[in-house]
Amino acid sequence: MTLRVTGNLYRERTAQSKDAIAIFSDSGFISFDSTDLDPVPLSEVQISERVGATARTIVFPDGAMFEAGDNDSIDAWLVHCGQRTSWRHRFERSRPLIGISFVAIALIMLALVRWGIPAVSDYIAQRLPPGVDATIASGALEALDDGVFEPTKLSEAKQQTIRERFQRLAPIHTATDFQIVFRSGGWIGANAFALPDGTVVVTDQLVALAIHADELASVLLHEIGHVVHRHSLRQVIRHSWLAMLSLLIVGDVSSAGTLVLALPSVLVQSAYSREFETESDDYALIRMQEIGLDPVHFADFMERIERCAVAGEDVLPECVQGDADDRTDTASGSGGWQKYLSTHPANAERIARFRQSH
Amino acid sequence: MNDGTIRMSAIENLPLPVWAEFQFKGNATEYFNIWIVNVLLTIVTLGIYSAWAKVRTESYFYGNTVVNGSSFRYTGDPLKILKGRALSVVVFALFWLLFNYYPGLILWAFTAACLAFPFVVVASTSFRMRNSMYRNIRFRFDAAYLDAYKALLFPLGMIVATTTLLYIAFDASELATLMDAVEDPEVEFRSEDVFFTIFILAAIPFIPYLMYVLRRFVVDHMHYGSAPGSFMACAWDFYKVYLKGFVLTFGLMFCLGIILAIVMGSLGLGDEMETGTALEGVEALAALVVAMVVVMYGVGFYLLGYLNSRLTNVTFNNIEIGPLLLHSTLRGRALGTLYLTNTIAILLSLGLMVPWVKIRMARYKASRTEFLAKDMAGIEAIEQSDQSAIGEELGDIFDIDIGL
Repeated sequence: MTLRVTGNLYRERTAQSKDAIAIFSDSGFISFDSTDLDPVPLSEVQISERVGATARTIVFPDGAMFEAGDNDSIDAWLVHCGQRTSWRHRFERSRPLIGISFVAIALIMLALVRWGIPAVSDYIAQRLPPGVDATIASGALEALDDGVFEPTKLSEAKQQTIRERFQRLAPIHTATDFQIVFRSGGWIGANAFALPDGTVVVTDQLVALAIHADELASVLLHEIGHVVHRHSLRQVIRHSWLAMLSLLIVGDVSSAGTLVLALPSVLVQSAYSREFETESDDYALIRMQEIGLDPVHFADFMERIERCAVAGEDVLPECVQGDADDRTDTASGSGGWQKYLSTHPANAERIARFRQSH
Repeated sequence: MNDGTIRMSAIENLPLPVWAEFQFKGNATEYFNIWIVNVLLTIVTLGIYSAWAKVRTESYFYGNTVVNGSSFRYTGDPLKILKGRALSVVVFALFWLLFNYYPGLILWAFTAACLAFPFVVVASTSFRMRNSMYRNIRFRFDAAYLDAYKALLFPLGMIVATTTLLYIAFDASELATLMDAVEDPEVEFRSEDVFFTIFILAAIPFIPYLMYVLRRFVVDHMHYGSAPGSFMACAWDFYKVYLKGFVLTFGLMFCLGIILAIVMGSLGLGDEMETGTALEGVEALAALVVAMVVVMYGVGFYLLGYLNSRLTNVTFNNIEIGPLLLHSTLRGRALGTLYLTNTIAILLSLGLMVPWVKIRMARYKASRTEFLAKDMAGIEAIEQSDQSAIGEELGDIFDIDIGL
């Protein structure tokens, strides 16, 4: 088969071209109808790989270049001459393969996010020395003190009681130096935080919400669980992987980049933190059973926090009082979507686990 | 085939030069297939294929950009790109480690990055230009690394000098003693804070100048074959763009502030905030904050659209490469709308619309760009040595884009 293809021929070393008809001969030579260029064998030219419908270029040994858009004919000629066409292009053109790719990417991404990133991150976290945890959030408490917290209003006696209880709950044989500090929670309200260096922050509002001392103890165990399982460190590593993965897939989308990366990251991150909550719950549950605390205290406390945490300090007494009689009246009005973004999704599932262990 | 071919022959037969429109011929379906294969192979090969994927993507976008009947060509070598990427990943990991574990060293890392910046600009521009081809002639960038340091010395030196002067002035002022008195336990933290504020304040007046110097540096050292580039804009052109953007930003922020105040007032939120009990008040406020964030993002896209369109226009319209001229007429509002709708599309499609977004962006930009060749015959190819892709990939990963 002899093929005739029209295109632009760049003969000289200038930007000037002229229309030419390339003749692709049956025996594997390329020549032109209107120039004195000698026929050149296929083995001596460089034919660019086919990319979509873009024009292909054929570069000759002397630097001349032929540019033509008739990709199908050139491919057919290449096949005739015993050459293979671009496997990438064949891949890109095959509908079944594209469909399979699509499904495969979706599955791989899900698997990566669900198992891959957590497994690799936790492996790395295990290899890092214990001191690393403390450096991550160094200055976190100071920042919170600056912006959110106010000094505690709890009496020294009350603080001392809780502190002694905390020291008995904290694991002894460990490099981590566990300690508890009290703050007034500001707009955060009733909450507790674990810093990676072993400091647990408890707000006055949380203390006020506890009716039974064991309720507070159960939350302290939960926070100790965060430290024991090195959640902050694992979180940081997981988030870094996630950011790199999103960047790799979405690629360079100018300007929209950050926002585009932010949303899926936030969703996955909250899934990760729910996983960590469950792990801390496990820790708290097992330890409570070990030292003979009733797990139902955790459930009771969680329910009360869910109901009362949004309310201001002055309504706390009513909230705590009303606990006994209207347990069903949960504060569902506080907006469902907020719970998805909350770090402590005090949902029915978590509470039920502790109730069942009762 | 199309009007591009007709135009081309018109140009070459007539002595009269004609402005020719750029055309972008790619389409979203075709590119989607290329993109999804790239993504799959990149994942399966643990990122190694990304170098080949980059070449394929660039080839697609270059090849579909047509002017005067000829398309552009990208000739980057995947192996070189892979080496550059490997190095970039190492540098990125180092920064990550520093950021997370040795925050105290961040300032040093920042300084090192600043010192490396001119090098990255030269290396990445060289690689990109060397591998860009049009009509069998390569682009070329012939600046030495030292040239970049020389060019950037004045604007960066001015920023450093102004920062130092402002800092000394601040230290001597009453404000500093006042702050010292108030913030006794955390003086160190505060002074660091103040330093960054002063740095930003000192840098802002020089940003347009820095942008101008960067673009002039790139254009003045670029060549298309034997034709040298020259940049005809002056610094004031860039100041005009930024000043207008500045006024626009503050005008819009002022309007938004007034709207917020009116809405809050009409809801009586101010009163409820003071008593601090009403749950509905808190929720309405939360909804309002969300609404404001959404509006701010929307406005931000248009401001960015304004700034990017004007910067591109002022740059392109002042480029002369031998007998070749460019003309760009990007519109701020159109670009802003593109940014906004593109982002929404990507978010709603979980990233699947990325190919479509990139195609329509390229199509819009091509449709607003024109090209004038007074004489093509005079341009000759020049031999040039190969370039490593290290700078290009470093520039990519740290998002250095000089917008040419």
